[in-house]
Amino acid sequence: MWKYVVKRILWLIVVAVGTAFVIFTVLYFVPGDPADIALPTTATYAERQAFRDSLGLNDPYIVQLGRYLYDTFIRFDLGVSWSYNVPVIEELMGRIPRTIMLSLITIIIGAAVGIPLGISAALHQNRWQDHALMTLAMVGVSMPEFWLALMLILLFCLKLNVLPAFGIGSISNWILPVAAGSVAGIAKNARQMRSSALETIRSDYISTARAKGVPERSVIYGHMLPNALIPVINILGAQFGKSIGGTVVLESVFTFPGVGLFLLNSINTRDYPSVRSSVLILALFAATVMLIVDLVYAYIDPRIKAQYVVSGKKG
Amino acid sequence: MKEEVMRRKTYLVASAALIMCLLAGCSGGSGSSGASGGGESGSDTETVAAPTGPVDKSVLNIAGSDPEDVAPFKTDKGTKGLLWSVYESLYDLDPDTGELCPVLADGSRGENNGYTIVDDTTYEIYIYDDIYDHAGNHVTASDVAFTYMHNIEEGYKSYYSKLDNAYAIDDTTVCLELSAPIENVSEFNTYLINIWVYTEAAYNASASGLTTDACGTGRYMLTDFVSGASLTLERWDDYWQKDESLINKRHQAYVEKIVENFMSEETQIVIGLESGTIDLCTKIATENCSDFMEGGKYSDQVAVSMLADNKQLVLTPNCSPESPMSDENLRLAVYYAIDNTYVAASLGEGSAVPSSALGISNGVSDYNPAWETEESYQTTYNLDLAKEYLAKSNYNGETLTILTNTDNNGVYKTVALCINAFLEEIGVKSEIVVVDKATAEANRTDPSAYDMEIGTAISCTSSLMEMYTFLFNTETTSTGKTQWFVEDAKLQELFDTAYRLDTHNEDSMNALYDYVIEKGYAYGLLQFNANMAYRTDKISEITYQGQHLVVPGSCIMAE
Repeated sequence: MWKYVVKRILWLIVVAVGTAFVIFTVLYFVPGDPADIALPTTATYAERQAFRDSLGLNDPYIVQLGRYLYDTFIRFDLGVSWSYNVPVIEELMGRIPRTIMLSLITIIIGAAVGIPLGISAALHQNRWQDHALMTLAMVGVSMPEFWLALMLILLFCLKLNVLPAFGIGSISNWILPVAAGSVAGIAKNARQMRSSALETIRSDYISTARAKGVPERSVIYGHMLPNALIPVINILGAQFGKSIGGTVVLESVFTFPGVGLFLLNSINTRDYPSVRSSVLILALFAATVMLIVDLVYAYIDPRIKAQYVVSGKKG
Repeated sequence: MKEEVMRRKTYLVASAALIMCLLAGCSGGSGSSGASGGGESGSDTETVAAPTGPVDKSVLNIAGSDPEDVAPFKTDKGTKGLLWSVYESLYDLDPDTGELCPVLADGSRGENNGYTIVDDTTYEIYIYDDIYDHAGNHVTASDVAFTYMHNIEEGYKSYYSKLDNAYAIDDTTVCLELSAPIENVSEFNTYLINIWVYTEAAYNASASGLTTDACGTGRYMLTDFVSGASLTLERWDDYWQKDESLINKRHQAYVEKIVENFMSEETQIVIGLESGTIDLCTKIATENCSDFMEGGKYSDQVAVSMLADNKQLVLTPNCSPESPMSDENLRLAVYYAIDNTYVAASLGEGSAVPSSALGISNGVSDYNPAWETEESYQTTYNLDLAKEYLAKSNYNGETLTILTNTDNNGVYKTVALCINAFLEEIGVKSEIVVVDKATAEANRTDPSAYDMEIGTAISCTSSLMEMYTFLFNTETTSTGKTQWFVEDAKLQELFDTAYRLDTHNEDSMNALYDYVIEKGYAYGLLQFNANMAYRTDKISEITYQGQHLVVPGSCIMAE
């Protein structure tokens, strides 16, 4: 098992280098000149070239790539943001905790509410509870996040005036962004949980447990749930992995200074160091989260753990 | 079976009802809320009463854009407008007269109200001897010199491209040595106005190099900056200038605390104004102002001041030999065929003002109001004249490409559609190519990619020459031509004459303007309105830093 874990960690390095190479190359060929954005419109061509020289942008591709890979992986220097004029890592370290917190709370609520709803729907299959829950889930999945966010702001900030519409100063500032971000997660988790619960509940071992007289509660939570949770864990992990860069809509609507907004602004201003570093960190984060998800899988399902052990030995 | 059918019918009816509710919620009804208001004023709408209770006039909450950092560089960056209250420059433009007015410079000394021209390339500037920054550091001439040289070290050489050296002669005299004479007004203003002075001691004491903290000499101190979220200023009651007669109205401080929230979503701003959590917003689209206009729901609480922005949307022809628009007669034909009043109206009532001249008309020096009465395509829409020019041109039925981009929420595309329709009226075929804003520059440099461009709202901060430099200065490219491939020796000569400080005057500006219009090198279509909205229970009068930049601390508070 440890061999498997080590192998996966080594693959992270490959992911990191590959991501760095791809994002560097993409940005190299993307149109748009940072000098045009950074300098005033009256800047002459010579001044723009001097600015580009100072940033090393006039060097050949291979030289720039080599310098970037050396700085990133040997010197561990992610560079200085051309827009924010601070080291990129400093800016990200200020924003990542906020985004992670927002994502984590959203996912926890999504799981805590969505999973029981899904179980309930599965247990009441084809009855009104099932139909009602799945209709609501469909609405939740279909609803655009930004629309929901704006509706919540209209209701709670403007009409009722009980919650703030923007900022991060206090706990009350987090309520609406979390609410807006949780709805889709609750809906997806409910649907997935229902689906996998229905599949599990028809299994022979469940019938056997019931036949043996095991209390229904134990059948559901002791036998069915661990098996039904496996695909849901996969979804939760994927959601968390994507969420660190995927909350840009919420961040924009609620003026929430997170990673998503930072990345969006950096792309618009051709702030190459910020974009490269942000994408690299997001990729590593997602890969790490998926590794953790796989390990949790192994913990829940011994069959999967056995597979990892075998593949670790072969590797 | 029957039960199953009934269940399905019930399910269908419930789904249909839900979809109807969702669609009703998604519609952008003009009277439903200020957040998504349409263009009509709410004349039949009942106004919402102002909230009762005391209004805290010691704090001003404003909605702005993320400045990204608070470093005292790039003073022309619009998102750093609030920092004009934290830092000061040597000079400012008097808000009433537009004349150069000393701030840190001591106007009682020197030959020119605080400075002396020693020779063409040497300037001596005199400052007060009792200037202190927020940290208590004494500001001397060596700090002023440090500011200039440090700006260059930080990579902003382009702003002070001719500065060879800046040094202190004594504590209150700083000398600027240039490599060549200052030749134009923009440059002159940059050296004297657009430089925020800070002390070397403050810079060295700052862990971030004044990037995330600020230490200036202005009326307000920066007390909090959360990157991407907000910026807080508090009034500095120990301001160094004790002579009130020397403090112009832009350097007053009537409010104790200013909090700027960086808000990119306009709906948020509208809701903030309506709920009272935002007191002032300097730019808000017309379609979001309906509830604040006369008769609107919140008209008693929020006032809207409609001002033309300091940006003009310009139609620029591709004058390279590869394009039919290199033909002067075709250019004039195209321009006379466009009714820019209609174009401005098509963007929605109050969104834009049609231009009658090539240039920004408000708060910018060198603009001549007489241009608006001269007979030209700027002032005249004449299809017959357009057809006459077309007949004289070499146009052979080619399809002209109008290049535009996705910036400004699709407004440019709307303008392009109008122009496309106008050109059809005179028999000129055209097609519209919309590119992403990010690729607009790259497309502009390709002479085969387009025939005319509507892609840039060109701005000025203090002088019209900034705009004309962008349009007509061949030094902005490496080709020896302008950005739109104009290669005209006479244009360059007239531009240089207007550009140089010693020959810059009304006559040289008029000569340049007349030639540009005669040749049809650009068409100033319209200026967008940048509406300002503010709560009337807090603010009674707005103070500007020219060209629509508000100085929040100097705004007169309501009784």
